[in-house]
Amino acid sequence: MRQSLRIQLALSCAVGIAILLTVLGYSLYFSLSEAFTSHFEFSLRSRTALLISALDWDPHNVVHVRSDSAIRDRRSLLALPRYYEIWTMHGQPLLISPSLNHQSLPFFLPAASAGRFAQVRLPGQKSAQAFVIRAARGNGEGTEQREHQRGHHDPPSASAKNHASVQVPKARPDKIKSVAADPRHFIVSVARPTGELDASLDSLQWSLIIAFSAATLLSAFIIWWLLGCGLHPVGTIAEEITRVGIEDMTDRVSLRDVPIELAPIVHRLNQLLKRIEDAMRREKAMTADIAHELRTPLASMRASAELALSRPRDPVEYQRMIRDFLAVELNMQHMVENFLILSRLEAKPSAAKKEYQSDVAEMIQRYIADARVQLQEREIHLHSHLMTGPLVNAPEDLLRIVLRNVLENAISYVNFGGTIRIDMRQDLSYVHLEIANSGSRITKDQTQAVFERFWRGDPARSDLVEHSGLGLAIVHQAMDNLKGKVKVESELGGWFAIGLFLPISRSVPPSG
Amino acid sequence: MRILLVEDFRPLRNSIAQALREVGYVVDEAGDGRAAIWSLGNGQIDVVVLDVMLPGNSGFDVLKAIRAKPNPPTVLMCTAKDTVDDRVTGLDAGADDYLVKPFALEELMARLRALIRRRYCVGSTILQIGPLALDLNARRIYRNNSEVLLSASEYAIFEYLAMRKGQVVSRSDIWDHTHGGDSVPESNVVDVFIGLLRRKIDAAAGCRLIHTRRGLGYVMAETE
Repeated sequence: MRQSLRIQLALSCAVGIAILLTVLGYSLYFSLSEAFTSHFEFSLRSRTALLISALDWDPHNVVHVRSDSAIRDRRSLLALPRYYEIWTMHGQPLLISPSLNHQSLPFFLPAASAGRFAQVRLPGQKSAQAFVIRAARGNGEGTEQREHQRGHHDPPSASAKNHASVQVPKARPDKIKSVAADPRHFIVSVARPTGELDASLDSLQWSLIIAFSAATLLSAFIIWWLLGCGLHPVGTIAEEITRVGIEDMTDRVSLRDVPIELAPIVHRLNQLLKRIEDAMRREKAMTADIAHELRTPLASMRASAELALSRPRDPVEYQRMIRDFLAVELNMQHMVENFLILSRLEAKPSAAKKEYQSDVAEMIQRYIADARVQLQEREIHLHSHLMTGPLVNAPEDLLRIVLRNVLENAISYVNFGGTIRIDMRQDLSYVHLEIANSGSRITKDQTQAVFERFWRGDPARSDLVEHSGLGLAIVHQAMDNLKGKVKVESELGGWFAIGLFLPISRSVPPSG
Repeated sequence: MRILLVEDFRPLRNSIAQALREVGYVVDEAGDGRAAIWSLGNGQIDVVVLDVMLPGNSGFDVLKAIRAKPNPPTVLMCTAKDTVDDRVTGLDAGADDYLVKPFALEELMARLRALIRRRYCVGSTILQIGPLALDLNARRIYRNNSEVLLSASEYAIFEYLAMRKGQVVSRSDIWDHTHGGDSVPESNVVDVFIGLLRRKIDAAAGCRLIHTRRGLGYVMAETE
């Protein structure tokens, strides 16, 4: 089934846009989700710092969280975390937020002083993210306080970072053990439900899916419409093409209103139409020529048959009439055979790839021997200068057709008592053969026309019934097929010469 | 009647010429344009059967030469060219009729008869000469449904005189249109043929139809 170019292009563009938007959507989603998550984590860190700064330690190492508003980060409007737990470095719980409802948060020692995030479950199976960090009291607490005070003037993020990184001395992993033994250090774990974050991310995801799907569909529709507009000239050209050639093959597809991109196609199409028109004209002319050439002998055969039947005649007269009839029939047969040869040569333009070794000189000598009586009758002088040895790369049957037609032409048209000259020479590529006859009836201007079908230098058939007007057309086509060349020279009343350039055989002649 | 047959294809020319001669026409043959033009000046031709593609001068050249003559013969153009353009070109060039090869001999004969009638301004195919009826198609003469038997030569002379009924026809005219050829007629050959014809015709008609105009020739008329 034939596919619509418009549908194909629209689908291809839509798929391309869909892939592009999907990649873009995923990138956007991951960037935004990263930003949301970073913001969430930052918020968690800040709340942790706020919690640490809100811790009060009594001399008995009992910790409390101050709830005064002084510790509230006014600029970021952060509130103390709802879910938190404080441990000693050994994992002994020191304080647990009431919101946890006695459900402990997971305890672990963060490897780095920067803290660590972990996924946890809060009461009610709420998903949450916990931030666990090591902190120090005493000097650290003082430092923490100072840092927090300074945090009023700094952005909350800087403040939070300071809490996380400054209050806790940086320790290498190998020093964790010694740090754990320090009673001033403790572990703080702060959790925050991720429900809002997940909901935001889900919302973002769906927004992107819906927006990009809609964009894809809209793009496909716009592309469909644009393609329709773009392909409109193609439809116009198609209508033009449909119109062309219905009545008159000389019509051409109009270039008016054709976009510049389609103009070369229309131009090529018009060139093709011109070639078709020429070919059709040639075919038509050839058909008319054949019909014309066959009509005269047909008329003769009919007239002679009707005449024979018009009344009773004696046997001698019947015999004469039948002989005349047969002569005309032979003329027609000759013409039809020549035409078939020409048609076959035209249908099979190149000779087989095989290498041939045809002895052209021997073939000419054989033909001359057969035509000797004819030459003597018309007192024709023959001067042939043939070489022995050169073999031509041409199948014998095709070469015979060429030689027979050229020699027949020379014998037929040489003047009575005139001369036929055959010269032969060779170079690296060709065997040159020139067959010339005196008494040419062809002017110099007519020389190229001699290769046209049914062209006769003498328009009449005269008594030369064997001439079909196809002989030299056959020679021309056969020489084309042989990849040889043919040329003709003529001077009215002087020499008519046909030069054949036959490709020389490259293979070594068989010995013996 | 004398017909010039111009055709370069010898077998066809031979067949047509023989067929025409067998029905009693005098036929001149030409194989090319030059010979045709020469033949035109050599005798009084009634109809030219003319091929177009000829060696030497083309059929159109011959046609031009025919039209340049006083009292030109009618021309039947007979060619293998069959398109409407070809026919129009031929007729516009001055041909009286156009016949495309191959053709039936019967059709050629019928067209020739029509052209001969046109040349001699004869409207009917039956000519009434006194009590005699001349059937131009059947080439026979009747009186009251009984045929008057004549030889081919006698019929040719009677038909020619009948076609030119009322006109004085010279002996050479009679010879040219009924026998032709290159031979010059003996002084009394025509008179001998006329004498033989007159004996049969006058007897059949019961009156004198062929009259002598001394020093001029003969005239066919019902009355003196």
